[in-house]
Amino acid sequence: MSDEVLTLEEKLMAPLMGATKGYYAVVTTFLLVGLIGVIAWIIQLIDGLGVTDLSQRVFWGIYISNFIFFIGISYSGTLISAVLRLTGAEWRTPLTRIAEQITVIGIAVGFTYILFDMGRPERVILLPFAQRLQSPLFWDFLTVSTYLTGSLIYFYLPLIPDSAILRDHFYENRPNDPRKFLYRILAIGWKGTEKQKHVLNRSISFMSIILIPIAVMSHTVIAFIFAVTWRVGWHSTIFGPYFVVAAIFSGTAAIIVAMTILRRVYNLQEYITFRHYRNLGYILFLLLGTYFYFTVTEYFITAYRGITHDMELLEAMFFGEYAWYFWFFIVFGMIVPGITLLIACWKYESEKSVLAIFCASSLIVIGMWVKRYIIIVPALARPYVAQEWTLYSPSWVEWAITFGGLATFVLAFAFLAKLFPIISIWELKEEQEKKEIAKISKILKTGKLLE
Amino acid sequence: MTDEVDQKRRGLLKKGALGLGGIALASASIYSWVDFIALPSGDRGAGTISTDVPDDPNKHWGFVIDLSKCDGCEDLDPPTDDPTGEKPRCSYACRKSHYFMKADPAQHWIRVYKLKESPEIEEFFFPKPCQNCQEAPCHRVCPTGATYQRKDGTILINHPKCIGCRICMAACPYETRFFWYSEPIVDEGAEEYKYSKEYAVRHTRGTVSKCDLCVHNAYANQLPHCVSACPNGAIYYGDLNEDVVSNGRELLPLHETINNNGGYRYKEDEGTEPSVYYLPVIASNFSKQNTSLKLEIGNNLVNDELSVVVGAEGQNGEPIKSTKIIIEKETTFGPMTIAEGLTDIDGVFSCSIKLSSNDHIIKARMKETERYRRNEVSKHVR
Repeated sequence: MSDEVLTLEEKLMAPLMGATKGYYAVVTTFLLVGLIGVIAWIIQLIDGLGVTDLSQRVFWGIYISNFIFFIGISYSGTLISAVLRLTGAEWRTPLTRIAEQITVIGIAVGFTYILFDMGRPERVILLPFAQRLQSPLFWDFLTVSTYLTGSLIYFYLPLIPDSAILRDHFYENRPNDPRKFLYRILAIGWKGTEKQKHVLNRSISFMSIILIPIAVMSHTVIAFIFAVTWRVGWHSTIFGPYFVVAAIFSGTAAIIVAMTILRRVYNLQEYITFRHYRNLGYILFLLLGTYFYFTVTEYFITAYRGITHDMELLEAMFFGEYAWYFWFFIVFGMIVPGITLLIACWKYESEKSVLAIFCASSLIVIGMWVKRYIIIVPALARPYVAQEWTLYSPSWVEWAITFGGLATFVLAFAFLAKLFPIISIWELKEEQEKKEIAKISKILKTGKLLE
Repeated sequence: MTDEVDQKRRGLLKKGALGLGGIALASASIYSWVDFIALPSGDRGAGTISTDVPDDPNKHWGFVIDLSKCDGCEDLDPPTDDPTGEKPRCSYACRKSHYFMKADPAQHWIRVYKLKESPEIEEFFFPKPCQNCQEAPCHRVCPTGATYQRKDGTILINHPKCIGCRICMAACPYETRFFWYSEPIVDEGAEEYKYSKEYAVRHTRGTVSKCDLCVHNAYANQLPHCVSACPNGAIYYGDLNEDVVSNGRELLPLHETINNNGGYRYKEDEGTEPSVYYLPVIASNFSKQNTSLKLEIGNNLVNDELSVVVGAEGQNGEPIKSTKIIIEKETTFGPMTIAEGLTDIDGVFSCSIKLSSNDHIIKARMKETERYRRNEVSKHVR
């Protein structure tokens, strides 16, 4: 048995011990993309937001779409780790680390887009001092920073025993690796005593409970930024829950995308199985249904009521200038992935289904970005006081910063993959031990060695 | 053992004290930095922001805009020095006197729109400055308090505090807020001014701007630039608490004017309590713009009476029915009405007038469009 555990540890630690050519190629490519993004941002800092295609009417563009998108993506950690932990879904164990990483990186990247969008980013420090409790942006600042802090703690807590394992391994086998100091600090003297385990489990349970309301609140507040205004297309009362569902939906899709890539790259087929895909696929389908329901509610009610201003917006969205985006989202962001998911989850025991679920999830992630775009832009492009519509097509700077953010997301993932095991070793070990114990107790009970 | 614990505790206390001190130091430095960046460059140090403009809680600045009088300056040529190439003089005067003619993208702190609200209602012009809402959404959502309300109710922007998040632009239901995307190109003359919230002339990149209701002028007993620039005197301004507004040519009693002329506030149902009242169009635009008058005066004096025939025609020659025609006689002390009436189904109004034997200049005009020169016709009678 100890042999098996050792191979498990070694196998999961293997990515930390060196990097393949492919890894360097990926990192270099994304570094380059990130660098272009940084250059674009520097240009924007020097010349001001005039380098974007934003105008006096369409004053929020893809930066804000990206902000909502990345904060939405970050929901994966909350869902997979916190919700599934609370509901006692044991199968989640190999996915928790990936999910929590997406959460932390997603919030950090998403938050930065607010800075990109600000005319005076250096003055962001004024926010906490102004104490403008009535401003939705202040709520946003509070909730998102609380969410980030909470997620960091929640990411760190299950990392402690793994850091201890790594610390022991590095001190023993690779004494020259400077990472050993990092692991020693992060392990904060973890010895794996019963008392420590008890405290850790209590803390994790506690964090998973408080993280759920924080996550819900933070996305609700993001929705409030739009919903509290007088703008047609935004002043909807269901925007809070609509955004929350959108976030969990896109977050779950994102985790499937991330775990499929990591599974392929690091050969984790043994740990991330077809069963995981089926379960996540069903969750994703359920969320897709919920989101579809919200979408239909939102547009059907608006269209039925038929207020002229609303109709102008809906016409542009259904048949006009934004029809491409809208129907792309409906067809390729909902209907096609929905059907694919159902079929793939039904016949889930093949690599083909994994590929199908991966493709569906990728489409959903793209579709949800497009959805965020058509929440923001058409509502602004529609004139408030009768006039012609404004056109907005993001400039290269905006695209460069957008892809730069995406590259940062991938790079952060690649970086963390070299620091910590992608799959939480101790949790997997614990789960295996539990299984062993169950097996042994069954043997003891029945008195039979083989079933 | 206890000693060890004690020592540990002491060490912890020390560390804690150090940490607290560090936090205090950090917050102090952040505070001073906040102070530093919250002041515009070149104006650092206490008390340099101009506070000359008084702030009287008994006042309430606002506009009354007579839509019947606004013709969008359609007849005029666009000012040659204005890069936007737009005709309305109010908007032009505002840009010029707030030194943002070259703003890119262009800003219109007051803008004239062409509206058509119902199928049978003709298009009309609609000048729209900041509505100076007393329950201002922009003020409510501002995260730093850069948008603030003076004691006299005026909503202004304290630009050094603006972080450029533009949520106020999202909140404003009137589209009266603008953003400095690029470094403002300073028009000549602006350098003379210090930064002032009440007279926003020194613009800052990355901040939001809007109509400042020219409070600096108001307290100096002067009218806003847009008001004095309007060739038709369509915009009235004043202290609404004083119940008087002025367009620089005449004073109007606020309550009487808005109550007798169907005054309303734009987007009243948004609950923003705007301070701008609009007087709806009472004369048809059709008659205002595309009309010509023909005046025929009879040759024969019959019992000292002259026959007068006035024909009112639209652009395409169609008759204008039921429009009020006024016949005036030029006197030493100004025009005097000598006859008035409505045109008939053929667009014709006829009457006879009595004159003395002197020379006379007889004028005919449409009642509702007294400002429109082209709708006046005069003839010399011997």
